[in-house]
Amino acid sequence: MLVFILRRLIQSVVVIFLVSILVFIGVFSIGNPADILIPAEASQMERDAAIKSLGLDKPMYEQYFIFLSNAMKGDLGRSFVFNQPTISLITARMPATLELAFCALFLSLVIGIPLGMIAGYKANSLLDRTIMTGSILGFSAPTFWTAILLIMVFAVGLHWLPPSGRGQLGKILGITTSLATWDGIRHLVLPVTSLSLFKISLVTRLTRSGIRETLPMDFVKYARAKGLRKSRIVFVHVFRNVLIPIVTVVGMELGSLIAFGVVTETIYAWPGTGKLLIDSITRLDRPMIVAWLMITVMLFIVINLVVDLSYSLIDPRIRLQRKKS
Amino acid sequence: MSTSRKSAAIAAALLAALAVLAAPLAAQSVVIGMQAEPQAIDPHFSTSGPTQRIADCLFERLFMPDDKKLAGPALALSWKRIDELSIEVKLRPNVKFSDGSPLTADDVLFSFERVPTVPNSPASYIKDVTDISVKVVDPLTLRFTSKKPNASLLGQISRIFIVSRKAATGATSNDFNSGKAALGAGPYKFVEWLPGDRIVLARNELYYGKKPYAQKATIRIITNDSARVAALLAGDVDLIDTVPPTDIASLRADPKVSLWPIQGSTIIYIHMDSDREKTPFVTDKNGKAFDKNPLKDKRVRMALSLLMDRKLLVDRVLQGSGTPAIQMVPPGYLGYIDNEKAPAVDVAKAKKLLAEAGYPNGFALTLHSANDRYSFQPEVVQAVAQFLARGGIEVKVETMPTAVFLPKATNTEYSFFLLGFGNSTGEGTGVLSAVLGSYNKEKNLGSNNRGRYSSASFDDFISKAMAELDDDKRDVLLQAAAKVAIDDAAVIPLYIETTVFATKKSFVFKPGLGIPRPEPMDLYPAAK
Repeated sequence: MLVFILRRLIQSVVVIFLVSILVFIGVFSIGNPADILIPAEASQMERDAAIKSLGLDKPMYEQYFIFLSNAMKGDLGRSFVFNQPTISLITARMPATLELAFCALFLSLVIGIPLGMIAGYKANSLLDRTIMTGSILGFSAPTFWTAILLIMVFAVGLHWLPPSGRGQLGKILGITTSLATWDGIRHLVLPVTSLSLFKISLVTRLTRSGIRETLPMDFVKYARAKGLRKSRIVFVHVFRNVLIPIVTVVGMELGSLIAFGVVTETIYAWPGTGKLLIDSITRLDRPMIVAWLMITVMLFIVINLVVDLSYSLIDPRIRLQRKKS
Repeated sequence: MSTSRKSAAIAAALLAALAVLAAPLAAQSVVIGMQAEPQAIDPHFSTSGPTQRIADCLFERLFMPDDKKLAGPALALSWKRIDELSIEVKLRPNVKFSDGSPLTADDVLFSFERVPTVPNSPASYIKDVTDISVKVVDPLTLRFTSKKPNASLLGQISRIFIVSRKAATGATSNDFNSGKAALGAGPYKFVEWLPGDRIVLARNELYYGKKPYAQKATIRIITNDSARVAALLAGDVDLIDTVPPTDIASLRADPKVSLWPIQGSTIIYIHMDSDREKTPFVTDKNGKAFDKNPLKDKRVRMALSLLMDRKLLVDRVLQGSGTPAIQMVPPGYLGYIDNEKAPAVDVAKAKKLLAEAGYPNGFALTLHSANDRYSFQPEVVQAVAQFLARGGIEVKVETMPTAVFLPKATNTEYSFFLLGFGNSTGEGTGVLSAVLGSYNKEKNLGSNNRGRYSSASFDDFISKAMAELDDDKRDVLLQAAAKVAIDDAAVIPLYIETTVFATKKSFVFKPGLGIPRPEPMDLYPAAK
C-alpha cells in the first residue's frame, strides 16, 4: 500500500512538472498582457516601466525558470491585476467554489442514486421510462441556458429566490459558509440546482445500468435462493457492486465541478475560483492563470488517489489483488 | 401578567422598535450591480476605471470637474499661478477624514509622495507626479512646481486621491484592501470588501460636501450581462451599469425600470496602415498584392470614410446606444470642433474618389477586429464590411479575442482594423497625441498610432497644445490638429459609445461631469 502511494506521488511530480511547461507555453502564446493591462493613454515611458516591473521584458525561458524556482518554494507568483500572491487569491475564493461543488455533488447523489435504483429495479416500466426521459433532458440542456432559465423563472418571475451573489455568510465549525444562514442557503439554491442537473442525470444512468448488470448475476440468484430479504439483497449486495463505477465517475466529476463551475459561477456572480479564472483569462493575468491550472492539476491528482484508495475499501477483490502483488 | 403574555408583550415592543429602526434604514440603503471589479481599495494602485470608482467614494481629490471648469474646487478651494512653472493651492479649511482627524497640507504632500512607492502597478499614477514637486507652505497652502511648462499640471494634480498620513504610513495595498489604511475624506467610509462578490460602504457623516442619499451602499460585482439585468428585474439591485444593448428595448418597455443613457468617452474608429509601401491585407480582387499601398492615398481613405453609414450603424446595430462621429474627440471636450458633424453616407462620391485614385473597380481587404472589447463589436464589424461592399470593396472579416488581437495590432501586423480609445481627461490631448501623433517614443507621441499615420502639421499643432497652459488657447490648437486629421482622413471615426445605466423606477441617476460611473453618490430617490 505504502509503495503504491509512493509510486503515485512520484508520478504526480512528473505530471505537474510537464503540465507547468505546457501551461507556460500556452499562456505565452495567447498574447501580451501589456496591451490589456496598461491603459491606452500611457506614454511609452510608463509602458516600458510597467513592462519591466511586471517582468515581461525577460525572455520566456527566463520567466519560466524564475517561476519554477519560486514554485519550488511554494510561491506561484503575484497576480498582475491585484498585486497579491496568486495562491492567497485562489484559496480565498476556494470555500465558495467548494461549497457549490459539494452541495451539487450531494444533491446529485441523494437524488440520482435512488432514481437510478428505482429505474434499474423496475426496468422498462412506465416509471423507468419517465426517469430515463427526464435524465436525457438533464443531460442535454446546456448549463448556461438552464441557469438563465432558473433565474428568469424563480428570481425575476416569481421573486422566490435571489438571482445572484453569495448572500449572508455565517460560521459552522469555524468554516465560513453560506450554509450557516437562511439568506445564504436561499442564494445557494439556484446555482446548486443548475450545476447538479447534469450530474443527477449522470448518476441516475450509471446506477440504473449498474443495477441492470448486477441483478442477473449468480451471487444475486444465490442470495435469493438462500432466502435473503429483497431489501438486503438490493441495498447491501447489489448496491456495493454498483458503487464502484459511481465512485470513479463521481471522483472525476467532483474535480470538474470544482475546476469548471466557470459558467455557473459567472452567471450567478458567485465569487469562486471559476469566475476568477475567466476574469484572469480575459485580463491576461498570466501568473493567475498558471497558478490556477497548477492547483487544478494537483487537485485532480489528489482526487484520483483518493478514488483509487476507496476502491479497495469497497471492493474486497481489489484489496486481495494488491496484497498478492 | 403570566410569563407567556409578558414575553408576548416584550416581543411586540421589540418588533415595534425594530420596525421603527428598520424603516429608515431599509429606505436609505442602495445596492449597485457593477460589471467590473476594482483591482484594489488602494487609490494609488491602479488608474483602472472600476478602481477609481471605489476610490471616488472613499477619497477626495484637490479638484473635480464641475459644470464650469475641468478643475472645479474640491479639497482645494482655489489656486493661483505663481510663475510659469508653479501654482499655489489653497485648501478648504476644517475638512476632516471620516475618523474625525483633520485633513491638512501634510496629508496632501504624503499622498503625492506615496504614489511612486506603490509597487507592481500595471497602470500607475506615477506619470502624474514624476515631474511635479510639492511643498507645504502652511497647513492650508501648498505649492506645486513642474520641471518644465506643463499644460496638464492641474489635470495631473486633480487625479491624485488624498489619503491620511496617519493611517497610511507604511501601508501596503493589502492594508487598504482590508480597510486598515483606507481612511479618506470622501462621501463614504469603507466597511468591507469580499473580492469577487461585493464592496460595502457606509455614509461618511463628516463629509464636507453634500451628503449622499444612501446611508449604506453595497456594490456587487456582477460580470455577466444577463445576470446583471436579471438582478435589477428581480429587485435585488437598484442600479446597474453597462446595460447590454440587446436588453435596452425590453427594459425601456418595462414600467418598473428607468434607463439613463449617458454619453461615454470611448470613440470607436478604424485605423489604417497609411505608412508602409506594401501592406499585408490589401490586395486587388484576384488576391494579388499591390505595388503601392492604396491606403496611403488620402482619396482612398476619404472614400472609405464616406461609405460608412454611421447613422444606420448607431440606430440599427447599436440600438441607439451611440453617437455618430467624425472626430476622435468627444463632444464637450477641449479640442472638439462644433461644426464638424459626421457626414452622411455618399456612395457616388466615394466611388468617384476611388476612380480618381486609380481603383475604379475597388479592391479587396481584410478587416481585423477584437470580438469582445466593445458591445456589439462583431455586428459592428460585419456592418462596416457591408458598407464597404457598396463601394465595390471586397471585405473579409476576421475577429478574435482582444487578448489575441491587440498585441498583433500593436505590432502593426494588420492593414485595416477596428479599435476604440477611452478618453478619461475631459480634453482631446490624450487621444489626439496618442492615436494620431507620429510614432515617436522620445516626444511621447503616437503610442497608440498602430497605423503609423504621420503629418508634420498635425505634430506641430499637437506639440504646441501639449505645452500650452491656457485652456482656451489649448482648445484652439487642439481643434487645429483635429481638423488636419479630419481633412487627411487619418483614421475613420465611427461613433462614440453611449453608456446606458438602468435603475428601479424609484430612483434617479444623475452622474456628475466626466466619465459616468455607477457611484452611490449619484443615486437619488425619484420624486413621488
